[in-house]
Amino acid sequence: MAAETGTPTTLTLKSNDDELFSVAESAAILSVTIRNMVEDGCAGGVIPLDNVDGKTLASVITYMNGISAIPADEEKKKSYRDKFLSDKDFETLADMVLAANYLNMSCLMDAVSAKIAQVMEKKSVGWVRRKFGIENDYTPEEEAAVKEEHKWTFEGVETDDDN
Amino acid sequence: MKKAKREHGSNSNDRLLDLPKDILHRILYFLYQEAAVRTSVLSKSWRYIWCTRPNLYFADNDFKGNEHNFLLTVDNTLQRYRDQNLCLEEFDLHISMPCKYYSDHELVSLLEKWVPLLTSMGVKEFYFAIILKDSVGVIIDLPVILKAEPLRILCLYNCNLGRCTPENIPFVRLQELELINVLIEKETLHKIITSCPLLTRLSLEDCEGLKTVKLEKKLHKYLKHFSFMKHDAHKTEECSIEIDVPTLETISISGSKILFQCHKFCNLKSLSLFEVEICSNSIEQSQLLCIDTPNVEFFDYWEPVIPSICCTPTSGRSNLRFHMRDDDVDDARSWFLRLSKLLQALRRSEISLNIFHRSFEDVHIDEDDLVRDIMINGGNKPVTVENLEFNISHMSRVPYVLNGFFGICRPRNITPIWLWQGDWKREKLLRKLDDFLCNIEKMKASGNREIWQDLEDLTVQEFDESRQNGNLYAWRGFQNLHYCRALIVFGFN
Repeated sequence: MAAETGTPTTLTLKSNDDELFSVAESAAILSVTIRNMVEDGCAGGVIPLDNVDGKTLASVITYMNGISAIPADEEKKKSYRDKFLSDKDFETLADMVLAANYLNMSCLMDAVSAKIAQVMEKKSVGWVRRKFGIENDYTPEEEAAVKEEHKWTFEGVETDDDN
Repeated sequence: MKKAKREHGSNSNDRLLDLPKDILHRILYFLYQEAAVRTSVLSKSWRYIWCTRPNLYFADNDFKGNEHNFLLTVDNTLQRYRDQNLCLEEFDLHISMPCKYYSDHELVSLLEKWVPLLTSMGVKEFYFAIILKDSVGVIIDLPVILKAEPLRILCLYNCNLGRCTPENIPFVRLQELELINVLIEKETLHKIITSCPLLTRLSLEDCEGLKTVKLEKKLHKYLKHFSFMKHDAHKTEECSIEIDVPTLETISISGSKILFQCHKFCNLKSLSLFEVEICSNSIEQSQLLCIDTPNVEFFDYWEPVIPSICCTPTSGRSNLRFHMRDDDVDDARSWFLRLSKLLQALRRSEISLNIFHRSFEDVHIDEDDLVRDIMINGGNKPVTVENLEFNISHMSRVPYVLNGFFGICRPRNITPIWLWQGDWKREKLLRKLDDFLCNIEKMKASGNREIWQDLEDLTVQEFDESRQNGNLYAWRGFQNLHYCRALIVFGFN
């Protein structure tokens, strides 16, 4: 491992669409999944990450590098995370939450989940469906019934414009 | 997983639902209960996901439209979790409503029911914030809280924790404790803070009857943030705080005596002291107690007299606000010498000095003596002060005071508040400003060489609101004032 040679060890990660990425081991082991592979000695060649596509992996690696460059200061890390996620669209966020789960990166997982929750919070059902690509399989009657059941939760929320 | 689907990009139907249930629960984790419940309308597969999330997050001020049923909803939900034997790990309750919608009595009796219920359900963490803003005077009785074993965060406002100190307070997980206007017995607080090994934040504000707080190293290994505020300190009996926790990161104290048992705080980032009295075992009262704080970024001090304590920042900001009173004017030389010592200790930080000259006496100071004292005693050069703001009762005293300041420091900017005494017309102000600048020029030409030799130029800038952050609090509210506010900028070589 890195400590003995003094030079930082680099790992090669392969996305499920066969893109290759180099990343410092010290940053990559933020992922418990990758750390376990390194500890088991499976990191010699290329580490295949079958559940993450190239675009998402590139993003995750940016995050790994960024966050590991910040010393142990929770506030600075938090503001880095906020900034990192601020310009991500929902498709990207959904991909990232999956990737973070697969890579077992709890800090990224929580940050992305919180971000998704934060935008879902005040938005209409229609908006959330559109943004997250959720297909409405309720009949209008069923939907009305569910809404009626939880009527109180719809007070003060923006109204739908499309259904 | 859904590799093929992902490649189709646009056709990612309900990609969130591709996520395993525990990820969906993680997303819902961050939602208040009503937003979580609302997800049931998204689609059939979402309908019941919220029902089983392992945390509950209730906040009445986000409970739009149905405040009356807030307590009932919490109660029903808890019953459902218990009846269905669902896993509940965290319970987060924020109550900040005035008593408009439910009575204190109702709340207390429900809490008396919930606390044992939650504990018996094996909830690992509680977060309670009970903030009764509009019921000042109506303090509610909540000794039941002291039995909530899994408490992680407890924030109480306007509550009464009871006269009896329980035998045993089981808060082994408590990390944050904030009590504002809470009636609590000294013994109870002592028991809480000695039985919470994980406490990282302790904040006590206007807790009547709480007169002594003692923080000990061996008990508070993790304590990072400590704040004690007493807003009506002059009215009530004296409080005293003893601090012996060198790992603290922030200390904020107002209206109390403080005894620092340790003098080195390696992690301290911020020290704020308002109307405090420093006691010390090791040095005499008249001496400056210097505590070793290599990493402090912010030192804020506000009270009538020159602080008898200071920290030793290597960067960051130091804000000091105090008065120059009759006693100080009588012995101006020793006052300036004490101030000089303080500034020397703070010299590596960006210093803002805000001084209110309250005396009707003139400041008589022999600047040659002062300069000699400082050179001989300290062997130090005058300290750069980024902002000097002072308020003085009469213009004629300004040169004397300025001589003193220039003997010990080099202010880069002076906000000439005294110019606005009693007169608000722009032309007059500008004339006064002009007089002042002439005065400085005269002092520069004929005054003590040591003091004035390195002053190169003097400029006046229109006051920039954004830079001062409302520091000119005394002058707020006068319209058009900003128009003639000015900063005098000194350029030293």
